[in-house]
Amino acid sequence: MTSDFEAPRPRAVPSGAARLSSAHNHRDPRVSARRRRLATAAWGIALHVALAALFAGPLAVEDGLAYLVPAALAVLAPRTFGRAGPRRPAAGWPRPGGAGGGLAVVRAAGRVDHRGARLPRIVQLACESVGWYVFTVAGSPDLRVASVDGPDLPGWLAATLGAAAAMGGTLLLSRHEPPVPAARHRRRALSVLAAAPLAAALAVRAAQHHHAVLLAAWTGVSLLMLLVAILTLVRGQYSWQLPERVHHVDLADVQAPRHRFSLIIPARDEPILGRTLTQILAGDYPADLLELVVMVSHDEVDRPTRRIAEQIAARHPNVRVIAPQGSQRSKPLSLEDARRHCTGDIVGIVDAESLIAGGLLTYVNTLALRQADVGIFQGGVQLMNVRGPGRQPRPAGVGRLRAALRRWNTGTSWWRARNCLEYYIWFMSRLRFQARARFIPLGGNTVFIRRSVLERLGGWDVACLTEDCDLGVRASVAGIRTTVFYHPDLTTREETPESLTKLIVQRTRWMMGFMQVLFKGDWRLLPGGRQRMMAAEMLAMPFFQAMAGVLLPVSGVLTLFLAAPTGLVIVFWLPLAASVMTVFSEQAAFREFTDAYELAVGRWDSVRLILSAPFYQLALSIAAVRATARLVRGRLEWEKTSHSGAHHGAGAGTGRFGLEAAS
Amino acid sequence: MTVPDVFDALDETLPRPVASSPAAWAADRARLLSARVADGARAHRRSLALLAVLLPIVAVVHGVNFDGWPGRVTDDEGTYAAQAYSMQYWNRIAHYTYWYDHPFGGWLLIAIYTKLTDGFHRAATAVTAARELMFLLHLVSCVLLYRLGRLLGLRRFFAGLALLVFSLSPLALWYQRMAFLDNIAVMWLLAAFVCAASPRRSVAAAALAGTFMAFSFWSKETTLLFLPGLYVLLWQHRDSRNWRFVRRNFLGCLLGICGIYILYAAAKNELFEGPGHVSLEWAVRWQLFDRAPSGSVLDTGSDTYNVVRSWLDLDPYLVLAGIAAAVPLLALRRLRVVSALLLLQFGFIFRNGYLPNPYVTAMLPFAALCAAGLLDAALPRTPLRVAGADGERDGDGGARGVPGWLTAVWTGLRRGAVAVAVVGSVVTLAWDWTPKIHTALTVDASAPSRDATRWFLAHIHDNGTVITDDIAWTDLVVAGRRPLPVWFYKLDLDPEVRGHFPHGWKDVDYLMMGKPPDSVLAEVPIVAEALHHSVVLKSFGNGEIEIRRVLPPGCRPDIPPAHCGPDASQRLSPSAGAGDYNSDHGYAPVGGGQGPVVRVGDPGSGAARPGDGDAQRPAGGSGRLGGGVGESARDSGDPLRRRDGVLSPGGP
Repeated sequence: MTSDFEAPRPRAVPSGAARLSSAHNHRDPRVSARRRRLATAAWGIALHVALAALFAGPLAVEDGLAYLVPAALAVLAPRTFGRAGPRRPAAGWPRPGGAGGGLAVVRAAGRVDHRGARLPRIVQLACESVGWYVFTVAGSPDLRVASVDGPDLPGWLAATLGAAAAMGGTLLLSRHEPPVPAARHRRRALSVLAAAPLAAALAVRAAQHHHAVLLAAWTGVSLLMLLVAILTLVRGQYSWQLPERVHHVDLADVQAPRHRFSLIIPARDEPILGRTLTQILAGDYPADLLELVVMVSHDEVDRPTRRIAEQIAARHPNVRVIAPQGSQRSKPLSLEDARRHCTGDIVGIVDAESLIAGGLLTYVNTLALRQADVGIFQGGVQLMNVRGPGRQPRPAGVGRLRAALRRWNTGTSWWRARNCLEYYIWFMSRLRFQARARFIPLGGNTVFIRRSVLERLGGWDVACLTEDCDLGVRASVAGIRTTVFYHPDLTTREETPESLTKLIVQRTRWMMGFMQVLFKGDWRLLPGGRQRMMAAEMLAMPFFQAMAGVLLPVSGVLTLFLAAPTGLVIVFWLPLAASVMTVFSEQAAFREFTDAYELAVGRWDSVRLILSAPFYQLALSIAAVRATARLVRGRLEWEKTSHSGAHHGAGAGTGRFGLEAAS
Repeated sequence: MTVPDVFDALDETLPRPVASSPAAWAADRARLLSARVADGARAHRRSLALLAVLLPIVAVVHGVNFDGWPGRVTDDEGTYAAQAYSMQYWNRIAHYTYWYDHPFGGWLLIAIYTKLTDGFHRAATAVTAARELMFLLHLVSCVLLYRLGRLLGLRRFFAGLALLVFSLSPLALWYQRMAFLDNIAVMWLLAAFVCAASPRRSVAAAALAGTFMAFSFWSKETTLLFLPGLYVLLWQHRDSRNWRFVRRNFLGCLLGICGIYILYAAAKNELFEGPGHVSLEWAVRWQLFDRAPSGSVLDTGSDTYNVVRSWLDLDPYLVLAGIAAAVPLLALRRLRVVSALLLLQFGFIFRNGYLPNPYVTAMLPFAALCAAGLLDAALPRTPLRVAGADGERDGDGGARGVPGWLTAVWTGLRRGAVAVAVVGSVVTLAWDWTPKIHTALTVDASAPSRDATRWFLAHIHDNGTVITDDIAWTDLVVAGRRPLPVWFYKLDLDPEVRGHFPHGWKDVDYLMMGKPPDSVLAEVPIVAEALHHSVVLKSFGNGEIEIRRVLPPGCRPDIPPAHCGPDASQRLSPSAGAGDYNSDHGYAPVGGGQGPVVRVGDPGSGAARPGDGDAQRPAGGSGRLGGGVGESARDSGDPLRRRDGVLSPGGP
């Protein structure tokens, strides 16, 4: 553990220690710290007693179990209960600018972040268990789960004693961090032993009332899913919440070109790279303010692509082709390599297969001039083919069944409209909401970042599958503002994946990336509590997606076979109602989308959109389950490689995820 | 502070500053919120000042003697109070089998109020507690009506006028003081209209409008009549940029929340008719088709005629003036919905179907808006106002191309007409309403009912079974009377209850009720028999309510009921009482049917009492009792008597 480490901090992050020392510098800091610790402990005890009384009284939780609620909360949210322990600044925060290759992983997932250190959760759990034992033994007989002798105190007094014991234990243990790993392990083992009786008692109680426990658990899950569904619904409609919010792009407002753009174009085996480059170069932004950095691989697969790029670079001086050595290429690695070659003030990312809009750079230039306090500009990306390629003749030599399967996989279009719509809602509404909420996972395409900001953030994390999301999270942590703009004339147009299988593979990768960012834990450093909640909710979305897949059948089984009370049955079905409502309101978004792009769709497309919703959800759930399964296998590997990567420099640190990303 | 302001304050997109401690954070939030409130108050300061003057007047007129007048003229009030009681204390939807007569949101609200304020133990009677809530709802309705008037383009003076006539009309005093579901539904309805006319045209406002409309449905299903009007209002106030989302969110919230009612019925397996249980399907069909019509309003002998007559006796002016004003207002876009809805309600009276007595409650706000709206439309706006940002154009813009003097004369005429109308109506209404308001403020017409309950509790102490109306039912239950009193309708019409009276009327010991009309007695033969064999112990309010002792053969009034009657020996054993309800048997479904579905005509036909609503229509079903959200495990198939919530409390 680091101690006495004073690093300069960004303004957005409050520094408890710094404030403390400035406020109380005339006193002995040690006395002050002790007083402060006692004060927080007293606050924690008061909170314990108040919550226990609340749950035992008005909320009618059984007396012996009511105390467990504040105890559990104290383990989960120790700081609220004044349990931060001695405040120590975090190691590695803030991240040193330009630290090599973005591989310097912040140890935020550990026990230290910008608000100081805390005990490991298992130790805290042990303290709380001890508190509960004291509470149980000291209290009246109806507080005890087992028949033991005790002084038979009233409930609030017993709760006070229990909380005092828990607090005392925490204070004692948080004074000294065992220096040796062996000692730490010993402490953990002891903690497990201390918590074991509580766990056993709870397990016995749960087994006795397994019916009620099951119902309560599923009610909790249902309510959580309902909350997530409602939040998704509301945030998906952010752009239409107020009429004046809808049309937020003023194309008539044009400033003279001033900013110099560096567009990074990562390409790997992209035969249409030439078209993309030509189109960008033919745009109306002056060529001397535009620099194209084309990233290709040095290997055999990429030879045609490389040749195309080099041909164009020969004709245009502002196009640079960079083909670094290295066996394993991934998009974040390319971006990170390209970043060193960028010279413009604004770095943009354009995928090799996408068509960027004509006025895009001019508009971003205008935005950048108008909004000096904004560091990142995210444009819209839009999938366009709401229908599949149509029926193709069966190729010779392919069996009837296999042909049918293949057609179902690639030729069908029921999921394409939904995929397009997903993009529309995401870029038109959801990202705008996220930008305003100051927590945004960026898109991977048509994103423009001021180079100074990029340097300050330390570039991309090459070990991350969704480096765009990760960059957005870190930018949010650093308090960098983002502007999201969406206009049909400015969107970058793309196509849906070729087949349903490809879609699932793509989604698996994204979800793994989200989980990776979740476990990496940068989001814990977000300055606002609400931002952190939002981040946790969004990054844990794969789990919710997986849960959504089993929600319906489990609810049905519980309704039919478990004979739940009527009120709970209604609660079980509420998430479904929210999902139905989401599908219903997505119809409006679909109409907006087709109107904006003047797509010729009919009633059948709308109907199909509704009918396909459960199946699309099923596909997402499959992807979520796949991602979770891969994560369980792959995460260890990632952790291992990230350590070695720190020594061997950028390029080696991708491991298994690098392979995934390339797929 | 308006609804959007609250939303702004709760807006999760606004970045929150990091505070060092929860206290600092709370202080910060409070400061932000108060700044917003102050902003809102500044923007609406004139309206707030006007409301600060009007609301105390309204509060005094409605608050003084709210329990005394009107008297306990209808059993419905007691029914809703009793159902709220059973919700609060027994975790059951209704005190007898809930048979989908109305959605239970209305008395859920009463139960929430009494839970929060400990109403049943604090207030003089159970109905008093429910009426307290009505008083509060009326104040909210007044504010909502004013706001709706303003949103529909009425000037403050006329919006205030609408508020006053809405609140001070003797009709309003009569019906809105009583604990009717209509009052709850009308408040939610007004809230829905206010949201639908929201000037911000936001999706959230539309979702709220749908939600409030659904709450209105949950309070009383008849308000679905206003749904088309609400939708048109929403459409009139639409913005093409987000109309698609507004529409869908409105309908989604509305259908979603209303759908929970169907989900509830489905979860209890009571959606469709079947043997041995009540069903939503049957209740809906009965309400819509099978219910006996109350006759034509044009037939002077019919119930409908009598009901309408009783309204006009209370106040002939407000509703008729509103209807008269609604016809020309159809031409005015901004008030078209309101006037059309009033005329629609008026037209429904001529439908010759069943006309419930509190039907007029929902007409009052619309009548008030129409009457005040016509005056507002007739009074020309000053040119400044017309040029202002007040988007709505009303009929006075047609002066272009007309000589100036003609316009001046026309304007003067209109001003004069409005002045005459305002002064004339104020004089007339003051002349007609003052004595009625005076009555409402002074006469204690509920005294007989209250005194009867008090006398009964003070003088009858044996454990006799008492048959009461619902007004007294809750008071006796709250006072701890066991066995539980029995609502007189249920004795005959609920097979479950009847099963507890194997010897018919001879098992009844006391009666505490007014003398029901003969037509009602024809529906409840056991009660009629009991009445026939009873003597009056004490009479209150000239026989308005009587406490009677039922005397089986061989029994005298001076022998306590425990010593005479068919099963005297059995009753002497003190084993009756609340049993082991906490036993954890899980959810035991009740065995088969206990009799055919009973269908009963309209027991209220005959002399209509003013305020005779439609809650006491008898349960048309049989099978297990009650049950509802959070229903505790209870074995209602238990053959033991006095176990199942009929004669002893059903809840733990």
